[in-house]
Amino acid sequence: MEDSKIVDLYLARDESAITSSADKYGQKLLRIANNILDNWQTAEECENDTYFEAWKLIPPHEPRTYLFAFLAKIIRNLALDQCRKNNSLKRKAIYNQLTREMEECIPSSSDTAKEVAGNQLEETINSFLRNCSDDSRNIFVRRYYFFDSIDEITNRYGYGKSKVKVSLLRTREALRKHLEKEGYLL
Amino acid sequence: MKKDDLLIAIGGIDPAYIKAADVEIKHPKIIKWNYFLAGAIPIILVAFLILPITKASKNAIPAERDIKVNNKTSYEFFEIQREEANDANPEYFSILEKIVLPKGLSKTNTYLICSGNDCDSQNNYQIVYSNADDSKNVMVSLSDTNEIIDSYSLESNSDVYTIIADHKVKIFKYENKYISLFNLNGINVKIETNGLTEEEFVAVLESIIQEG
Repeated sequence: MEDSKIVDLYLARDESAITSSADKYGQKLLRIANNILDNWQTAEECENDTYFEAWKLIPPHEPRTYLFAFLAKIIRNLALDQCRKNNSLKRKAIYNQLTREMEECIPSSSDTAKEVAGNQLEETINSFLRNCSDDSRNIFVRRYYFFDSIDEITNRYGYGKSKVKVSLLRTREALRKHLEKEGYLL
Repeated sequence: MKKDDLLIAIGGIDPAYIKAADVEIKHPKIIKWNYFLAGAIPIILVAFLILPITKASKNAIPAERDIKVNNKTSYEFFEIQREEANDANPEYFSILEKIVLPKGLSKTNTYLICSGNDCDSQNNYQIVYSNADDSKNVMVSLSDTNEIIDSYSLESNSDVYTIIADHKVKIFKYENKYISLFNLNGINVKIETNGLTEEEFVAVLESIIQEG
């Protein structure tokens, strides 16, 4: 079913919107949650909560052209919340590793300190990604949005491990410079 | 900014980027070589012939020899900007300035070829010129090591060369491929063409050697 029709079902308060969403995107959403949590049971709970959140958010939102991204953002946030609340999950999850990698992108203290709302930071990241090559952007998104392992990325694109690692290293360094220029700091 | 703010904020990136990254695409370069190596090496081992290119040079020496093909899958191909490669190694790419390409080969891709993780210190490149549907292409591999760095190497017991503009050139033919190996000003060069006629291949070869 087309995304627009699924959104129509949400808008009409038709509960088949949830089964349609699950049929179309359930596996992908579950994979994102499990990549973050490394725990299928908690990931499934996040998936169910995702549809419930979507039910509450549509309307007013109408993600007709970006339903997967809309649902993925919800499950991503739910899974990250679970990680932060649950120390045992946090310890073993990829969350810790990727947080450390992202720390490399955050400039150290300077006089150009800037504390901003999350949506401004999102826009800053978007402006950075606009200037990345397709290859490096896709690798970055697979790693830090979908929480893919290096092996999963190499298998997806047919690249070698060193290419993926070098690409991520260079993109993180470029992002750090971009954030520094925009006045962000840890 | 907190340590995990960035990771959370990435959740709000443009949906177009998420969609683009969700499309499963294999790197065509790697696939092409893998398929080539998996399927063609046993045939190549017995079928390679040295090409009798009499038009290339009056000194051409046609002959048939046993050819050994070595798989070198440990090498990785990183696509890079041509300008980046030119800036790093201007002397390398000067030999390609006057390359004579068949009509329609307007696409150019440049690859840095690496073995292991220490890519920054390596100077092995492959430049691929191709037409719109990739039915014809010219792949030029350049290396400053003692061997051609590529996905595979060719070895022959023969010391027979074709002489073009006073340069010793080894030439092979297999199906619609022409492959030549030679050293130009200390740079090891391999030219592989796919879908080119003999005349087109010779024109490419001569234009590079004469420029060098």
